[in-house]
This record gives sequence, structure tokens and C-alpha cells, in this order.
Amino acid sequence: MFISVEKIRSGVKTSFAQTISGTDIIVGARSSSLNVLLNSIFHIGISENMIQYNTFTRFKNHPMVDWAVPLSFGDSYRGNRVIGTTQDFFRRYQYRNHKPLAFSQGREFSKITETVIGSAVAKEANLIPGSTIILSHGISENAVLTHDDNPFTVIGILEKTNTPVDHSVFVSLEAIEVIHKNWQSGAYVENGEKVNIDNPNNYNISKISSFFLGCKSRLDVLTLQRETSQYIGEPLSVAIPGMALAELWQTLKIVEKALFSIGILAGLVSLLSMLIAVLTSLQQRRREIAILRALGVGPRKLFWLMTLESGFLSAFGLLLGFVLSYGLLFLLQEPIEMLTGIEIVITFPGTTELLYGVALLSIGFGVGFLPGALAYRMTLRDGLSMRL
Amino acid sequence: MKTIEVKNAVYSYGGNHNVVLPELQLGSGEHIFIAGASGSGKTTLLGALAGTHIVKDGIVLVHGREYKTMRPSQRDRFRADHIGYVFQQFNLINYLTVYENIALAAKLSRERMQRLKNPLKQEIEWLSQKLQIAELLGKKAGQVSVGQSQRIAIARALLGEPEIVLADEPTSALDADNRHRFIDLLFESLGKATTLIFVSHDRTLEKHFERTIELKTLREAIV
Repeated sequence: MFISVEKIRSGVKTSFAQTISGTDIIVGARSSSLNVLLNSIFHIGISENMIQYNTFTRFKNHPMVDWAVPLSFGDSYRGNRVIGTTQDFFRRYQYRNHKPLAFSQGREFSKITETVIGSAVAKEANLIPGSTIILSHGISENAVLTHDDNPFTVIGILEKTNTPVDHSVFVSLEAIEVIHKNWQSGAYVENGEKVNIDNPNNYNISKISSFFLGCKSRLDVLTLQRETSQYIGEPLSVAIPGMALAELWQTLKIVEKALFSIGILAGLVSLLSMLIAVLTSLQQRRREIAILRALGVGPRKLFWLMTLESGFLSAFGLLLGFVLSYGLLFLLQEPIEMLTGIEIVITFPGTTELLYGVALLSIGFGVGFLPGALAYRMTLRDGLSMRL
Repeated sequence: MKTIEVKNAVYSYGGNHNVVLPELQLGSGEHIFIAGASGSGKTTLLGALAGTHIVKDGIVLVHGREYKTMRPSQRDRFRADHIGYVFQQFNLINYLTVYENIALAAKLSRERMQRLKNPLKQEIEWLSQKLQIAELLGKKAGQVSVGQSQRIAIARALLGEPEIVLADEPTSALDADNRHRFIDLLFESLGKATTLIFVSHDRTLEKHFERTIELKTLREAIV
């Protein structure tokens, strides 16, 4: 129990931290850096403000910037976020120690009507390259308004990453513009005019939600962060993923502590129940103790026998716990990953766990002192008589 | 040298509550029946002879040694080496086999192990044949009947021929037929030099013994 909790805790932590890598700066509209991060990476919350597309182009051409990927949110497909971006996203987005995205089937989108979907989306909706999907307006799960006049064809499916990417639908920025062409203030306006997707003038990109920046040199990150956050053109919020994630984890510290406490409590409860079990059996064991006494076993020996018993019990329990929790984690690894995206890495017990194990074991022996001492006193008082 | 000598032994149970054993002398190989209801000092007497109760005053010599002068661990050692003990009931450790229960007596005392004339296994088989429990040896002790378990207890008490066997109402859990059969088996298996002290309130068993002592007379002089 203790170990499982500990594993989940570290699993949550690492999968959070490993969601994005390689991206130096995320820029979004005025809110907070945490908000930008949650919105852009974890697809949590909504971006209320947009930023001008020319802000993006300006930073894209900044001398310190190596690459830039724009992102545009606002639509969904069966509860999965639709992300308007460029092909660069597939080349630049990295997770877990600079692992790039890969396609399990198909390829990047190249036309406005094409879409690339995450592995979870594909699995959930049973989509294969060539399937047609219709996006919903807004990000609520049960969206009523749909973009049914602009269906998309699945052209590629990404490999599983255990990040929010799995739950994303990617289209081009232009596509986002096109499907919203006839929308005003969040509602579709019927004007009978079919959008001509071949006409570039029909999809001038004007606004996006946020963008990723990659710097030419790591040394420029802070400079660039200052420049973006002090940009005069419009108010921007800037997040450095590593820092923001650490910040986020800081706020989640309470959860972490709670998980940790649960582990400690579980350990304590099991020790207590062991103590109770041993003490209860002590009463039933008076006979046994009397027999051993009659056979010449001294009180001191009995004391050690009792203590050793508790020690062995906790050692055995600990071993069982290790085996059980690892077995359980092994079995549940897949489902947990599927449900929550938390990847639990099964590793050999680390120093922390071994340390806890040793601590628990010594407490187990310590707990054994009590029944041991009781047995000691009892033998002295009872002598050879069996008081039942 | 008498095997057991008790003279004016006073046992304190705190405050003014004392139990006194005025006199008792037993020689080697004597079989004695001690009659007395519970509360008549039975516990004290057995404790005194087994070395778990220590005199406040007076003399208790067992096999020429005095418990008073020994350290607690020496008393335990002495008991393991020289005394076989049979309880009223619940004589066995249930999760061990019958064989292991009997072997325990020799395993816990080097002296009794050395006194065996044959290897332990052979000795146990011989004893259990005499006591008619040979077929039970491989069973778990928790599975045998009360009568069987009492006989197993005797086998354990007699293993390695200790000088003294203390039996604390060993027949009280048995029915009348089994009682006499039990005592017959006990006597058949007892070594010649072994002194038996058999405590019981059942006077019908008295006839098997050479000598009877009333606990009442043993405690005559109450201070």
C-alpha cells in the first residue's frame, strides 16, 4: 500500500514533468504563466483572450528564435481538444527527454480539410486514416453546435505519448479560420455563402491562442522571456515550461503530501493491527507459554521469541507488500495510463522505498517488544499454572 | 540423598497470605499420590518443586539442589534437565506434530538429549509404542483426542528419563475407564529411578500408588 502510493506519487510527478520538453518558451494572451501552460499543454481551462497573428510572426522572425509553432484552440471533437497549428508542431513538439512525435499511421496534414489525430482519439472513436470527422464548436463535451459544413478527413494518427497530445485533434491554422468564417459571436450565421477553400483570401489568419518558441541558444531563453512579456504590441503572458511545471507541482504539493500521509497512515494502521493480532493471540498462547516454561524455556527466551515473531511478521508483510504492490502496479499500469495519462514507471525499489522498508521493519520489531514484555511478565506471574 | 526434601517451606503471596509446606521427603523411584482439592496448595507445591515459586523461608531441595541459590536462568535449565511435567490438559503445541512435541523435551535440554540410550527418533518411537500413540507421530497435535494428548504429554515428560515427573491432575480430562488405563501406561513407561508426584483430587486412583499424602496434612501448620 505504502509502496503503491509512493509509486503513484512519483509517477504523477514525472509524467507531469515529462509532458513537454524541447520547448523553451510558451507565449499566450494576458493571464498568468501557469494559465498559459495549463491551457497550451494540458488543455485545461479556456483561453479567454487571443493574440494577434502578427505578434507571432514578429517573434518567429526574432534573431534569437530558432523555431516557433502557433496554437489555436476553441473547438473540440468528442471532448477532445482541436488544435489549430502548423506542420512544425509535429517536428518540434517533444516529450519525455526530447522524444519527438511519430506517426503510427499516415502523415502530416497538408490540406485544409485534413487532420491528424492523437492515438487516444483514434482508439476512442475507432478512426483510421480516411475516416471523416465533424468538429464541434466550443470545448464542451456535449457540444450542440457543429461544423458540419466542413468535415475533415483523418490523414495521420500519432503514436501514443501518454501526454495530452493523445487526446488532441490537429488541424491547420487556416482550417480553424475557414470553419469559423461564417461564425459571429460564437454562433453560426446562415448567409448561404459557401466558403471557398481554394481562395487564400478566405482564410487570412488573424488571431491565435498561443505559441511555442524554441531558442537558438539556451542562454537566450531568459532574455527572450523578458522581451515577450514586455512586448509593447499587446499584453502577453509567458511561461518557461520547466519552471512553470515546477511551479505547478509546487501548488500540487498538498496533494503530494496527502498521498505521502496516506502511505504513512497505511503503514501505521497495519503495524497497529499486527500489534493487536499479536496481543490477542498472546491470551490464547498462555498455554503454549506454560508448556514451554515447563520444558525449561526461560522468560527472557520467551520475550525474544515474541519479539522475533513480530519482526518476522513485519518482514513477511513487507515482502508481501512489495510483491503485491509491484504486481498490482504491473497489472494496472496499462489501465491507469489509459484513463489518466499518468505513466507509472516500474523500477527496482529505490533508496526511498528501501529506507521506508527498513524503517517499517524496525518499527515492526519495536512493536514486538510490547507483547514480548507482556509475555515476560506473564510467565513470571503465572509460573506453571495455566490460567485460562 | 533424597530426591525431594521439603522442610518448613514458606511461600509468600504478598502481605500476610502465606502458604507453608511443613515436610515432604521422597526417595528415588518413589511414586506418590498427592490428594487434595484445588485451593489446597497444589499450585504452590508444584511450583515449588518445578522452581517457579521460590521459598521465603525454609528449605526445598530437589535432587540435592536448592532453587533459592540458583539464578532464574539456572532454574529454567534445571527444570529442563531434571523434571518432566504433565499438565491437566492442553499439553501440546497445536501447530507442531506429535513427534515434534515429544522431541521438544530433548531439544530444549542437552542433558536429556545426552541421556538417551538410542537416537532420538528411535527413543520416541519406543516410548510412543509403549504409550500406544505410535500411529499418531506424524499428525498435527491439534488433531488428536484429549486422551491421546495426555499420553503424548507423558511421552514428552519421560523422554530422556528425568529424575522427577510432576503430574498435575493429568487424568481429570479423561473418563473413568481411560483414567486407570492411563495410569497403567504411565507406570509401564516410567523408568525405575524416576520419582513420580501425581496430584489429583480423584481418590479412586489412589490404589495404584505406594504412598498417599493429603495436601491438608502437608499444610497442617499454617502460620
